[in-house]
Amino acid sequence: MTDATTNPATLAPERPVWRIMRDFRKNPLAMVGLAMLLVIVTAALLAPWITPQDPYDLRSLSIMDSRLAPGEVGFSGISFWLGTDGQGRDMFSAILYGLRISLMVGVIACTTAMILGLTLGLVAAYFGGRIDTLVMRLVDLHLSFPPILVALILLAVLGRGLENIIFALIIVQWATFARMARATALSERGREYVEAAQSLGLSRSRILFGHLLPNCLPPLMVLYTVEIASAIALEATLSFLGVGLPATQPSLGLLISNGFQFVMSGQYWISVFPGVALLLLIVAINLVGDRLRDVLNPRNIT
Amino acid sequence: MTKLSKFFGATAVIALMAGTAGAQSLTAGLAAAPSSMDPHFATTGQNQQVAAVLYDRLIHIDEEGNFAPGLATAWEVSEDLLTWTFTLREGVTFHDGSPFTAADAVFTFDRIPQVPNSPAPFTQRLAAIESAEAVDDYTLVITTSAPAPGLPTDLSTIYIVSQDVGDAASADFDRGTAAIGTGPYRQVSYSPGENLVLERNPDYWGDAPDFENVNIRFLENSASRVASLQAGEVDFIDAVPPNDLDRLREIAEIEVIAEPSARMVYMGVDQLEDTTVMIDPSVGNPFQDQRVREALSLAINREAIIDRIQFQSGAPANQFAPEGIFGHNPDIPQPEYDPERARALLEEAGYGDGWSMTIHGPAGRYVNDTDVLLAVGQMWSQIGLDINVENVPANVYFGAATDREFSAFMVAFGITTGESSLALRNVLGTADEDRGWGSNNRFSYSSEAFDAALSQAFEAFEDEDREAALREAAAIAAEDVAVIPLYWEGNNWAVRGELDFIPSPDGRSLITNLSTR
Repeated sequence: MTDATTNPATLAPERPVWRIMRDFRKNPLAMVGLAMLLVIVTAALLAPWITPQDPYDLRSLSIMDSRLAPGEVGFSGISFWLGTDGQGRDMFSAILYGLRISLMVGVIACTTAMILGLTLGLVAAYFGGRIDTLVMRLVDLHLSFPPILVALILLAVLGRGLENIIFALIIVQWATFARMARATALSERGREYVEAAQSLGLSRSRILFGHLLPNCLPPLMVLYTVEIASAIALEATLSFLGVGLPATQPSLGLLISNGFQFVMSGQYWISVFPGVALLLLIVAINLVGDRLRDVLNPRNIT
Repeated sequence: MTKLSKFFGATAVIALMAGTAGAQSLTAGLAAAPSSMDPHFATTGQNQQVAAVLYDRLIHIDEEGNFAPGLATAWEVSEDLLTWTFTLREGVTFHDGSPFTAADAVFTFDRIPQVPNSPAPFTQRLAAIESAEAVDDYTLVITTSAPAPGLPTDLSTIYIVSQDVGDAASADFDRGTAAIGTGPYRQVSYSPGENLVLERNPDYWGDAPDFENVNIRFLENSASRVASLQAGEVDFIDAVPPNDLDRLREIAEIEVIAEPSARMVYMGVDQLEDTTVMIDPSVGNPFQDQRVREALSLAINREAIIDRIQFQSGAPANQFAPEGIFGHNPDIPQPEYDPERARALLEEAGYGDGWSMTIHGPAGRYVNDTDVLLAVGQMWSQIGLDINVENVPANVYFGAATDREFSAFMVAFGITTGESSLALRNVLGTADEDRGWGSNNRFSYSSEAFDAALSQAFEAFEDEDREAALREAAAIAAEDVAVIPLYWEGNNWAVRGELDFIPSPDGRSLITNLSTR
């Protein structure tokens, strides 16, 4: 056994991570998605340094610059390549800052929801019986409500704000992870390596998190990427409906909503550009997620 | 003549006929449906704007906002100021053919307190009347318990119904069986929340209206209202969203009418104590300093708000009463935009470093309210304050404002009575529950000079004295910068080409203000 850990080459021809990366690269569409995602994430992370304006600082805005068409130059001398919105915000800056918020909300909410769901799902699958029934009925109950409804009610009670929207998304998403984790763990539980671990007298928590968890991860990683995309979409929907983030910190959904009323008057850019940004982000995440699913599916391994 | 030109000729004739038919009948799309067709059910604008075309008042208000003869042709008050004698118009008939007499007016006054479940009753407007007596068919004598200079104003909102109405319930007005008035139109049918069908009253005593038949559709959704106008399904709409104004202005066959209303949107700033809830106690309460309030007012570019956010609908405000409303003071200077002087004033008041605070406004209560609040936030940031903006759902907003949870917040007050006294008393009077003063004074402005001037207005009997007192009060409030006025909200209507609409000072969407070219 010591050999296997110190010198993996002698046992396994290749580490799984390398195999996954190699398989992933075979699909050009997935590579396009990955490239798009990398560009978006980099741009969002660097937003404060590459945008001409801080759209969340009221001092830097002027309504005299409002609703300028793409390419026009404002009073302050900034040229607005993607135009401005009704408050005189530079759309390019607002979109990058919006993407930042969208990504942050999506990643934080999904990671927390996954940790929560995964733990509950594994516990339910491993112990079975009453705990299983309790957790899974809770999951059933939860999944019987449309996510948007649950989120709307929560935000109506909690009020607007970044923490509140993240909390609402966690509440909406944990059940999906719990169900998937339980299903995967159930099929893994009967395997010989679990029996072996049990016969060695290892502690339950060690079997759960040391043995079961790593083997349940691949399908959950696929779910994770897809759920990030849906969390971002849900956050945009909630902001569009006016219950998400505050008006001074417009996320993509709020930007689209603000511009919605101007679309009929021909001022398309206020809605369309954030919409395109949101679309690209979600498509990119889904392309990566789809490919990951193909790559991680054991049946596809030749 | 070729076949083609014959065809065009024929269509031209048909179009011409359709044009004349259109002139005879009118379809209107109004945003707000009345809660009842009973003209005494509620004083709300949407009820009164349909009641006013079916029923007359003793006293009418003309386009300039002055009293004009309605069902009463003349009125005078006795030496002791307690007895009013009204001479009524002869030869007026109700929609059912019966003649109008003084007994109908007395019946109306008696009926009003008996209307059940009224959410906004008219009784307050009759409170001054001790007794009303029909001396003969065309002489009405009203006695008041105390001198009541406001009586003509009150009576200009009381819709006279026929005594044949008897003890009919409000629902009988919806059904139409009790809808017996003297107005220019009579009620044909009404479907609650759907539409109201009217026809011309051929025996009307005043100018005959231009339309034989009128169909008023209630289209609450603004997008469908605008779309219906564009599609030609309706000839007239009200409450056009400002964001659609520019687009409609570009359409040749549609004309937009945008007029400032008597509803002033303003920022109230808490002046009660040495500290205020949204500002760090170590800063104190800057709003107690008149120079600070003036600086905040100077920092606001009202023209920009009207132009960029409200699409040229509305007008920069400097007092509650716009021109045309009794009590408007033409000597109050127009508000200026001068951020330099604003900064200097802050410096002078000892707040050169500014302070940080959250300002509040309702979400979706006034036209584009969130955008306006953000713009105010921008402008105040630009004179050196650190501003955060929060918009609160309207159903919680006003309660929270009354509970003093805000320091600087956006509110509006609309004048519906044609004069400024109520606005000044409710919004700027020192709060005093017993006198009914300051019920909307959520920011605790208090000035003895203002209260004294306003009290005079309520005691004065002669119009000139009242007007002088109201103007004086308005000037004191402006000098003190009691509130930071923003703008008078715009009222927007749109008509299809062949119609004219002349708005009245109360801003109502009256069908009688529409005419054919």
